[in-house]
Amino acid sequence: MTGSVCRRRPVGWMLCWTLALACSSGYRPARFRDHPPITQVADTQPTPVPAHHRLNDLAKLSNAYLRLPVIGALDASRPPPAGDVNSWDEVPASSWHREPPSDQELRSSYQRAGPPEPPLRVVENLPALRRGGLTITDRRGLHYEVFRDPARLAQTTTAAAAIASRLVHALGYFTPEVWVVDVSSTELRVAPGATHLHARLSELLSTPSGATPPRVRLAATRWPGGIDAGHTLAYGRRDDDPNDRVAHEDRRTLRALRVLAAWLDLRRLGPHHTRDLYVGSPGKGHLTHYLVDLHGALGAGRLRGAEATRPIAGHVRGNAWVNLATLGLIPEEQLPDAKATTLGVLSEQATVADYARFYEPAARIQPDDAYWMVKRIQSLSPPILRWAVAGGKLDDAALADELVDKLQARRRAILQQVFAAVTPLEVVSVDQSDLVLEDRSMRGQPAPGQSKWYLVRFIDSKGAAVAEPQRGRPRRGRLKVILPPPARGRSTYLVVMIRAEGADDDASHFEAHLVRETQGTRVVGIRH
Amino acid sequence: MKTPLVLAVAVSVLLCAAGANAEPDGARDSQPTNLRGIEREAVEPGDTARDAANALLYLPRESLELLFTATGAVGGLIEDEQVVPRVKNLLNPPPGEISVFPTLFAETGSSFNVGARLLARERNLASTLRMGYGGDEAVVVDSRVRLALPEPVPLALTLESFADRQARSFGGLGQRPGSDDRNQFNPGAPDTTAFYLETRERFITSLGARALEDAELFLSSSLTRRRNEDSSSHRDRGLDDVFVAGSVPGAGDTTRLVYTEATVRVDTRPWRGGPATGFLFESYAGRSHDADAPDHRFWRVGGRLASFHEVVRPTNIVSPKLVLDTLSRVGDWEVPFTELTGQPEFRGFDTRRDDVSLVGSLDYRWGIWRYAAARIFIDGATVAPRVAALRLEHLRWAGGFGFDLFSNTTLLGSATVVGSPEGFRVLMRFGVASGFGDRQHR
Repeated sequence: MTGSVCRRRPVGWMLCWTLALACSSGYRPARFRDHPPITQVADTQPTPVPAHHRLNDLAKLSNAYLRLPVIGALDASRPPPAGDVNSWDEVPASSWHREPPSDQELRSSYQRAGPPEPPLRVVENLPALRRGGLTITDRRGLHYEVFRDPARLAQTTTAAAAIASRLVHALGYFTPEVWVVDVSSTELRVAPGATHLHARLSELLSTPSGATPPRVRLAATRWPGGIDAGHTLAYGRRDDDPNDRVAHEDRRTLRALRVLAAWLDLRRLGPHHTRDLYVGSPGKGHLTHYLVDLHGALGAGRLRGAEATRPIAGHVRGNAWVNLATLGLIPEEQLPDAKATTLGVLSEQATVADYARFYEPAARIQPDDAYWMVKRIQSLSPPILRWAVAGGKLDDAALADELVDKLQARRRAILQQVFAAVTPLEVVSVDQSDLVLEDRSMRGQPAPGQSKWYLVRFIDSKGAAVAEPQRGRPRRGRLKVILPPPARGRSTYLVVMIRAEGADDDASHFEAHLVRETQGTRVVGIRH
Repeated sequence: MKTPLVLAVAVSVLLCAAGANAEPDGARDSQPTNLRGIEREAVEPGDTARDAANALLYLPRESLELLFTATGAVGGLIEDEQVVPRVKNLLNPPPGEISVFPTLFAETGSSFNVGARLLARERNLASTLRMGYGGDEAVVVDSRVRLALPEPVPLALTLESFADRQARSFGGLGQRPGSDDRNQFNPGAPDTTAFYLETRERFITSLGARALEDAELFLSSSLTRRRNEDSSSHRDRGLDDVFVAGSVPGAGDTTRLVYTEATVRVDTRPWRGGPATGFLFESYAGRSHDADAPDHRFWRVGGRLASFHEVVRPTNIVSPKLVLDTLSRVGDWEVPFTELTGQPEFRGFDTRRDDVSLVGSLDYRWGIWRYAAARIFIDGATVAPRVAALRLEHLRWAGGFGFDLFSNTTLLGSATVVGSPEGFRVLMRFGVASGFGDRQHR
């Protein structure tokens, strides 16, 4: 009967066909090659110097506010998995990201040039990482870019830039060194022949009353070197960079910036926080991708008057609907945080979903991307956080301690949100009989009673069950899974799927893909 | 028999060798597929349904993608050629870029206009070609070439050619055409508004310079050919139906006018996009003459004055504005009705024509979000045969509410609802408003 209806009505037939197909498809796991994971991406091959990509506001706005939500609503496909991850769900070292330095290496790896050494000369025709940045060279001829705190906001944006830069570096991202320096006004001069820069120097040095203080606190960003190729595209790939093989919106290193933005309270994360630099001599070098201009982190961007450049509509503050309904007539002083003048404005609460919604890669973040980032954030020890905050050179020691505490509180909040969206397990070891996993949500948790139950299923590469499911509970943060006996005399592909009992419906499960042979069992793939 | 076998084996060996070479070394790779180590993707429940839905949504999705690209990114790049950019805002696009985009415009009371726009850029040189079709009486072809130089002072040289055919209206002279003695209506006319079809071809050359940080100088010259005839969509309401035949100068004629204008503009606002405080002064003087009869000429002189003041917050701006446009006749030549001064600054219905126009407005604009502002406003407008005859009696007014979207440098688009005693109007615009030199584009 149904068949006859479908034959007579093409639309009905299409619906029947669609429903039939939809109902017939079940879960079939991915199949990984039996191959060790890639640990280094060969994206530093010599390339010609690419064109300078200037950020176009029109393109950025139409992308972020029109194309992203509207086209996204018309795209029913699953967001693709990140393209820059290896078979173990990690991001290999590349020109975008590297293995985070160890605690011992951190200081030396960060301090490549160190702070600028006086005398300092204001120069022109040098690229700047920040809109309106003032470029200088120091005694050694090294190139820096300096800015100072906004009026009445002492030790805010300069400290934020220095602290955030250290934390971002500790996470494995490329970012320039930022040093807070206390410079005598007499140590900062305009280079010979650049007399037209006197006005900009005076603007930098003078106070709102017009006086020039004897010493000035500056943030000095070391130019990382290379040829400036402009902002990193938020969408697509660079046509002029053969090393650029993954669409940027599908790069985990960029997607996961949403979590970073939430942790550091970096509001309005966007392409202006990214920069491509061509490293090496022309024709023999390659692009390296940096995170830059982090002065708005740690709540500094919330402070009234803290913006380096006046945003498009001026400093529009408050909720858009409230602004609309009140004709914008609520004085700014009555808005939240309006009276804050220090980094103490940073809240202990952080919600990932509130950040970077209009930055294309960040808007496409998937739970496994967020999980990758929180693992890195989780790995930062309290001494690293203290080292980073010390880089801000805050006079108020209590405020520095408060910042460390708040960073840890924000980290806890973010970990909780992200761990709830995935099954946060990591492979510790595997042999013919056992698979041992670490529960990352229990790292640093003192109470063993808080561990949850996990349901473990075993399927083959086609999705068919090959053994009875198990229930297991981590002990001391370790979950031991007893594997079914391997088949004798032949290689088999086994997928161990694990999910926490009572987890959110949309939380993703953990998969360990194993190849089992007579000689042993090895992990060929991991998915979160 | 042996030869094919040997060949097959050799080919197989070669293919295998090639396959082996394609294998990554296990530690370094840059191919995304190799990097992820996946030889077969997972299939989730519902993937087939998603694929089917995606196939159905393909056309609307791709159409919208093209539309957004066209209206958002390209519109602003092209249509701001009347503004001399500040040095820091000069575009430095990737060289050799050529793009083609579809266009779609909709406006209250008119049909959809569909078309395409081609954009080509080479460093400081940009050119565009636009074509649109909205029926037999709404056709436009527009071509522009612009050269922008940052030094020694910011300069913008623009060449434009333009052709269109549009149905337009004319309601007579004066603020109250029905009682203005200069109008000779046919007693039996069904209405006092006549319709005509205007065909225009125009060439404009313009040179702008930003002499000072806040001051721009602009020189432009155009040759415009206008031909007006009865509109097929408004039968019985042509110019000769509504007005006494021969009483409307230029009705049914073809004119070829050369118009040359010099404009100075001082705008202390740091940007034109979002709310900003400052002061605006613009003044222009232009001379127009008939290309076939140089003695037939007239002058246009006018200007605008506006100030922008902060209210409570830096993003709340109240701005009074006054716009005066005049046309001075020379000799006894009857200026064609199509050249009379109109009131495009008036946001109500722009239906009054005369030699002198005065439009005043008061806007309150407040930022509601980083890229958006709301606006309430009231406009007043009047026309007269000369400045001394301007009166506030019978002032036409319009008030409204709207939203603006803008970028760092320019207004991107707006949506406005205007109410007036003559009715309501909805204005939608996406693209950048021309800053000045507007007389050339009227």
